[in-house]
Amino acid sequence: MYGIVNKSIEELVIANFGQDNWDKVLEKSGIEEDFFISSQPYDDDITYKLAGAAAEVMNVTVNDVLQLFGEWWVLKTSLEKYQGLMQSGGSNLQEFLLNLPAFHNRIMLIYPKLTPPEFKISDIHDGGLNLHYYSKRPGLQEFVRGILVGLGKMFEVPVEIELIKERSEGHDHEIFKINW
Amino acid sequence: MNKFIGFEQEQFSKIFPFFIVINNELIIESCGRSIMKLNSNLINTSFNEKFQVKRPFLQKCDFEEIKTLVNQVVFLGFNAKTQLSLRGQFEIIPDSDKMIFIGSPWFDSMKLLQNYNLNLHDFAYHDPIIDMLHVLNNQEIGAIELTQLVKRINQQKNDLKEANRKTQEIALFPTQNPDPLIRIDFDGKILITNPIAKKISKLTYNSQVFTMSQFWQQIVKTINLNSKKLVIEAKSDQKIFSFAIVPLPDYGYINIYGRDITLEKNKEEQLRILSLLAAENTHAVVIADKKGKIEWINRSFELMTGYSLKDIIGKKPGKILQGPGSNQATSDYLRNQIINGDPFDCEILNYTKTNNPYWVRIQGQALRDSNDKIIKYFAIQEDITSKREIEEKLRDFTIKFKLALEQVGDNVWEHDLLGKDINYSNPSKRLIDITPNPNYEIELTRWKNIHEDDLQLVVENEQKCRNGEIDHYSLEYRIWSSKSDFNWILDRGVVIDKDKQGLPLKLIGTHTDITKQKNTESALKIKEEKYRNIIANINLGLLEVDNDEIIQYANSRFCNMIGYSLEELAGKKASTLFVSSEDEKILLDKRKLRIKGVADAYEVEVRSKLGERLWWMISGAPNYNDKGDLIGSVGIHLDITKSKKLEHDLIVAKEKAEASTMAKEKFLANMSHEIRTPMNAIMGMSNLLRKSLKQKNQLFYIDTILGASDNLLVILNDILDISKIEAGKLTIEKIGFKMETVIARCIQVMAHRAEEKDLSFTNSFSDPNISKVLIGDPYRINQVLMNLISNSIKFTEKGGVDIVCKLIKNRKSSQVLHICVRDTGIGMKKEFVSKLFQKFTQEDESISRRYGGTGLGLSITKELIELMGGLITIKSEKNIGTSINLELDLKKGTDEDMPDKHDNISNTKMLVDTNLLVVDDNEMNLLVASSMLKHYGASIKTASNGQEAIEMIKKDKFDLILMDVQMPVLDGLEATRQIRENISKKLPVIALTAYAVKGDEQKFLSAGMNDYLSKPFEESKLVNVVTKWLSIDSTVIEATEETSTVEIIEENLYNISSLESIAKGNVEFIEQMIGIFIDMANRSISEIKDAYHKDDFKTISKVAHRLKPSIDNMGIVILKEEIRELESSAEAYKRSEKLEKLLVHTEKILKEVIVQLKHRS
Repeated sequence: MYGIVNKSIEELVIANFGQDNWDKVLEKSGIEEDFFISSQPYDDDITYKLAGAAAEVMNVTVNDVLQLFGEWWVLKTSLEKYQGLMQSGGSNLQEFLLNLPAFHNRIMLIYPKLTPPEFKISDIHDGGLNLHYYSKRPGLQEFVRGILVGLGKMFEVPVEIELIKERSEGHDHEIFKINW
Repeated sequence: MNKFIGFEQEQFSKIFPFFIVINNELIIESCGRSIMKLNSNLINTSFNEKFQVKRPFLQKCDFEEIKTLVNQVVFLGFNAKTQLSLRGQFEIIPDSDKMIFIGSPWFDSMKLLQNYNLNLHDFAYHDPIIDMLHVLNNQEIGAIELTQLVKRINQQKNDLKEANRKTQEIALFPTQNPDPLIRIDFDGKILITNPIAKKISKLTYNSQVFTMSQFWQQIVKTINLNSKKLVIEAKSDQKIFSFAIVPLPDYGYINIYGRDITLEKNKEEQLRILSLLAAENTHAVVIADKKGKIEWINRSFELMTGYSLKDIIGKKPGKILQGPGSNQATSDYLRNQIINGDPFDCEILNYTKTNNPYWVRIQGQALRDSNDKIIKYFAIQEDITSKREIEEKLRDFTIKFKLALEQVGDNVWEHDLLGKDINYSNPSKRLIDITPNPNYEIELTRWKNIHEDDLQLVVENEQKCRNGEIDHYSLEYRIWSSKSDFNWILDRGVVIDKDKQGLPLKLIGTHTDITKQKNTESALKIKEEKYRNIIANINLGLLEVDNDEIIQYANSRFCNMIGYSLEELAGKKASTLFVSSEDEKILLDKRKLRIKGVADAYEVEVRSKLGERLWWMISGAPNYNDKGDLIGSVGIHLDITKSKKLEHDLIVAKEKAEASTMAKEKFLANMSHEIRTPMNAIMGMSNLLRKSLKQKNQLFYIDTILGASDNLLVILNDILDISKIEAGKLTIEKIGFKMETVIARCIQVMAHRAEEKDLSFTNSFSDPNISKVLIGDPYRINQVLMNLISNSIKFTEKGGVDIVCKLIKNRKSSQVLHICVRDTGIGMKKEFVSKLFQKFTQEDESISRRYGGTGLGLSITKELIELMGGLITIKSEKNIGTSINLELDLKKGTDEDMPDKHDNISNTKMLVDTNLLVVDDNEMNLLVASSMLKHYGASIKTASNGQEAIEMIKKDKFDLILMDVQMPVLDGLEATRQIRENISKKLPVIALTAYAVKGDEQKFLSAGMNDYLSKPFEESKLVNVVTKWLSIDSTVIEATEETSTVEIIEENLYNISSLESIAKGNVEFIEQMIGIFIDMANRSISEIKDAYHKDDFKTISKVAHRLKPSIDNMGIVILKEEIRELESSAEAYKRSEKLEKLLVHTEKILKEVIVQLKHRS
């Protein structure tokens, strides 16, 4: 993943738990890098390690970390660094979600080495839809959930997110049932 | 041909959201939706009003000019939004006079976008500007981040530099360290060493030598990696290193910090030695602080004073150790020295913890630091108590020694061999005269007066002393005190000083005058000689043995007695040599007595050397030495073989005599039975006949017969009496009687005889104070009086016979009576009076007295009186008269003691309806008894032997059986037993016996008989007995002239009259003898029983033999035969009914005797 992700995690930890704890996370993760260049791609491994270490240091589960990060990613990183992009994503949650695939296509212009997940929408109705999440990376569905939560907050809409299908149960992708 | 691509305006707006169409008047005709968003009021407004061409530069912004802008990049400025630039191009719209601007806003940052409120959707999808802006943004971010990174790196670089510098500095530290520093890994491999460490090539540790690398490899194996620090010491060359090993497992290595401790170690060693010196010092060492308070004491101090460090730390020694006896001045001296910081040395008395005083020498001083300030005090204390004591003791001793020696001897001398000096403690008393003459050898003058015979001894002794052979001596020798007199001297000397070779330098000793002792000694020796000679020559055998019976000495007489020589005897055991094995026990018992210190005499059978059997009387006594220890015993031996033999012969003779006496008695008893039986018939029949006779002459005849048979009976009785007296079987009754009556009866009976001879017969005096009733034997008194009166009458021709009865003593419960029968008869010569009572001796005149009248007369009388415990004396004078005096001591009685007196009632119907069986083998007796009983109305049946009787009893019912004892076929006793066993236990059986001797009653009763009658019996007695046992009231009794022939069978089975005669009035002796008999009898009974159970018949014989004399002595006549039978035949009888019967009977009688003896009053 691009450094921006790892940096984002760094910012998340520092903002919530302080520099010292970030140092601990870094140490715990065992990774060599202590500085991330946002536009540089890094091994996915690093991100996983950081997430794991953060979970340890913050004394929460990795999934918790990911969800928290998901929110953070939307509410902080994206809005700060890609505000326009976010705004142009849609004027409400449904629109945004509907535009999510296109959104990601655009992002690939900025990050050529990006290997983003694929999103597809189905079962669209007034109060909700199903979001299909296809990714080669394992275990980040909680991140997605976090993002969705963050989006909900961004659009100031209360959302209900239910993971109705997941790969760990033998399916080939995750399906989030989202209602607002 | 021009191809057209046409779009609807809305579609076109989608593609180019920022287009502007202007006409040739520069009026905006249409624009894209995003432009509209920016400024809604654009349509039909002037282009120049809203926009301006920023580039290229236009002189005039008119249509024509704008037309020239085609094919160029144009930047438009938005007047409404001054910051906003639009970048695009103009193109002429074909076939019109309009121009179209197609472009999009030009941003150099994302921010502008936000400012103009434009978002993604306001741009055409194909418009990359937003994306580009994002990329730009990213790159900006990237650039920022890079800058940040570089900054950081710089920082880090600087930090590293600093750290490096610091590290360098720090790293220098160990390198500059003069001590070795080493870092090793966990395998002991050296990672880092500082320069000094590098120099260490070899290390010696635990006596092993290692190289550095080897050493650490070795050590690391022993390290506990979890420990914080480990210190080991090792040597390298001449240096000693202490290595502090600090494992740092977190870092993955071990740091070792070495230290050169050579100097330290040396100092340590020195200190150790020094402190050992103080600690182990045999003297007490104490260290105090500058205030004088104890800091430390060594072990010796503890031992000396009893205080431990704990007890006295912080205290001042003086206060603790000194006490009441400590010299105050010395104590002050100590204190002063200490205060002044001066050294001190003194002797003072101290006290231990337990308050024991001891002398101590204290030496000490102050210790100062480099500034000469006192920091400590130390003192050494030496216990000199013993030294002082020794000095004192020595002084004491020397004085005492001199005194002692002077007490021991008369003079004390000191001979200094070197100085050739002799000193005397009391020169004036010196026993050896010395005139110190330097010209002569001291020795010569010394020995000048010594007796020639002793000189040799003295000289030799001196020599032995001088050459070291002896250290001390004790000599006795004579010294001439004058020409003819000498004294004995005891000279004792001891060497008190020797030189290096062991030769004496100085002797001291004493001289004591022992002349007196010597004289005593010789006197003693002479006496000893004398006694030895006596003992040697005495006619008694003397034997000395030790505690183990080993012969020490025997005199010549003993040797002769035993037949062994002294050489043969010495060292042998006395008992085994002389005595048979059975008798050895006797000697051993004696030995036990000797140990107890008891001396006694005893008889023992011995064997001489030649095998002769000898009897010896030995008087043995314990032998003590002069210390009082028992060293053996001494015995004096007397040969009593001859007397023993004599004794044996006498015993045999005695037994023979006794046997003959018994035979005689038996004979008499038998005879009396034979005579009584017909006598019974005669008298009985005569009496019966008399009852039926009426005529005078018939009566006369019958009376004569009766008189004669009476006489005969009397004679018979006398004979029986004598034999009884001989056998000790005659006993005296103890019943109540009235003396008055007895005397009256005598007079009544004998009156006619006196009358016949015309003699007076009086009872001139009868003491009125005589007790009305006395306890005694009236029949025997009667017999005696009758005898005496009869004699008196017989031997008196004129005058008369008088009876006088006086009371001599009147005691509380008894009286002494004096009865005198005196006559005026022919009297006797004095010589004959004394012989009067002797039996069976032949003298002329006396004979008639003795043999006259009523049979054995006076001898019986005397016996009777003596049996009664009285005295009989005779006074007689020839032709004057004779007076025979009786003295009787009788107990007083009361009327209750009187026997029943029954009236002379004859109830001839008393025995009616009674069926009686009379059993007797003699027809006449049967007849007599039957007739008597029939007279009283009884129905009588007869049988002539026991068997017949039993048969008859079985068939008929009888109320009573009269059973003769001596019968053939089945005698009375056996018959009665059978009756009792098989027929009836209650049927009364009365024995009719001719014997009536003591003990017979037991026989009858044990057979089962109820009572007995002695033949010849009186009718009245017969009837009385029968009625008694038939429980018929009233008895018949008839007083008879003569004493009853019925012998009162004494219940006593014993007779102690012979015992009494031996005792001669010594009651204690009698009691003692009786006691002994009872013991012996009891013992014998159990011994016999035991022996019988063990089938040891020999023992039964032995016991019987032992018992025999006692039985005779105690007058147990009934056992006389039986005990002899047991003695002689127990072994022969063996286990048999015969023996059993014998034993049972013997036991029974003995037991009865014992009971009777115990109950005798």
